[in-house]
Amino acid sequence: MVALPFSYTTDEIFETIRMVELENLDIRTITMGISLRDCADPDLKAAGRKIYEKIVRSAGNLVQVGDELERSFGIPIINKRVSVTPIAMVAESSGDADYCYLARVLEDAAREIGVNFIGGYTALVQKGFTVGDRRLIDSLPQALSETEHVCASVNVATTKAGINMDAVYTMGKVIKETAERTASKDGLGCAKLVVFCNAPEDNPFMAGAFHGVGEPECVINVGVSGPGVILNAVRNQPNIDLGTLASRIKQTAFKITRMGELFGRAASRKLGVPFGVVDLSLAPTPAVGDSVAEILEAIGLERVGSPGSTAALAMLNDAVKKGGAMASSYVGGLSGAFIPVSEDEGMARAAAEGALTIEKLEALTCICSVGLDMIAIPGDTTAETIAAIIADEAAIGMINKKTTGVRLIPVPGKKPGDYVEFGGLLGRAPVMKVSTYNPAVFIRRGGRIPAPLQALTN
Amino acid sequence: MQEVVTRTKIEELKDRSELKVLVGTIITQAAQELIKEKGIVLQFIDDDNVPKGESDEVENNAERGIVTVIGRDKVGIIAQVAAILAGSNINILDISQTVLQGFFAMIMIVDLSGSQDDFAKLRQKLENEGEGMALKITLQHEDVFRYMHRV
Repeated sequence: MVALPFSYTTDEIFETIRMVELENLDIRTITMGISLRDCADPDLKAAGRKIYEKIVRSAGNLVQVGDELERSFGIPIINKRVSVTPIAMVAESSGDADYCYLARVLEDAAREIGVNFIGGYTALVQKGFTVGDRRLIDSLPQALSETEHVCASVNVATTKAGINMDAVYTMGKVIKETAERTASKDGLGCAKLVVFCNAPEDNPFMAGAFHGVGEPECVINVGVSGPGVILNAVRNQPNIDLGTLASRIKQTAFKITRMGELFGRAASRKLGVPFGVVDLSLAPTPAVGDSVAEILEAIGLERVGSPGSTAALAMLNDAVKKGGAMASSYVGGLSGAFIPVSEDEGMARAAAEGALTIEKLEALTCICSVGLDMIAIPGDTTAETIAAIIADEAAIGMINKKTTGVRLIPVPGKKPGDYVEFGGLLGRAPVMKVSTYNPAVFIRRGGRIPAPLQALTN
Repeated sequence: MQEVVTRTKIEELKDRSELKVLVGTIITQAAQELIKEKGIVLQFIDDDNVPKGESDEVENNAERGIVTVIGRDKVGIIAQVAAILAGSNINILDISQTVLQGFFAMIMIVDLSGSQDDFAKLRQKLENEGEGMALKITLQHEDVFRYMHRV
């Protein structure tokens, strides 16, 4: 081994170079959270002006700083994003019901500062609706069809509050309507809308990012990526037992997360904004080799979705967390492996071949972030069935005290097996079959599913 | 408080006019695009009233990079890479080389503080020159290694 003045070994140096050059090591996102609580105004137009000014002032050089970091560390940052206080809270003090106006303000602000997405067109309704929450939810289909960069989320359940089944049903209808309004783009509007249980307040990932009420004025959160790096670590070890493999994944996850920590701290210093959290999520992209499904297959499954998938994912997810938690001083957000379908080439392939079903995906969401994510379903799926799928996911999140989310796209006019192209990071996917047995009576009951015993922790 | 220049402000200006802004002014991405499109000349002016904090230059002084070179061994690799670095006024602090799975592999620790080129440009330069010599040359910031391999 060659001795170097900083005590790095040759192997360490080439390992880093290989990760960047060959294995798609990148920072998935730097997300600036901005509080808009001081932007509320009885006049919605005035609120809009304040919001625009605050975002542009706070995040005006976010993209520039991100680009500088990319250049000085030689590691790409895939997205620069902004998340804001849930708009339902900011807009509420105005009597004006046209919240789409604020969605357009967010869109304009995003374009001005050049970010990839802006999240926080959000309402938190786990226990019930305020006037502002209702208006925001009603405006979702129009807002999502009129804007390109705005991401929306609605939290319909928490472990502490139970599941707001009225909100669940409403969201089923909202998702249908959003898909129909964006039918010319295969229901793309739905790709910007997540329905959550236990939504985290500091998540840097879209579409579910918003700046929670307990957050500071402004904050930098970083989401790491790196399935390609983990995949290679697994592929290089075909003959070791699972305990040893877990340890190898842990070591690799540590290294990936350290990059998030490095970028977060550097961005925070350059922008003069406090550093929030590193989100340890393994976030796949549609690029070949940057896939969580392929990691599971490299562990030893013929196709993801086969028996054993849940156990393999549990091992992977846990190892990523253990390695990542050591690497960062502040861990938060979603922090787990993502298993989106369209955004992950391996998942999409398994779904197309029939190896992976929605039911198996539901099982997988019990143990990882975040939920049924980016799944194209037949356009004739009813609002009640979509609501029932949301309710199932929310139940899993509520009982297991974890975040779950649902991002379904009922693609207008498409049937199971048809392919849908969303483009860019959103990828492409086959339309997946959904059970046609009818849960409508259950869903129409409405009301609130009480908080479970798990909530009584005091 | 920092000034912010938005696209709206640039829209008000004539093509190829001059815009004077204070050092540290935030110019949004949309504004920057329009500045390019309209050929507007940006001039940064110092405001003496603003107390000067630690500038980025001071921070840069401590910057060290790690250059790696991989390829088939042949005469003059070190000389050529060293010449590129010398051309940008970069001091080589240490060199080590080894043979890695039959390939020549060299690691150089360099001091970037006197560099005439910015990091990205230098990186590109090394990469391009490397391709000409059938070598893979990379430049990485030392922090990347420090963070990844040491807690």
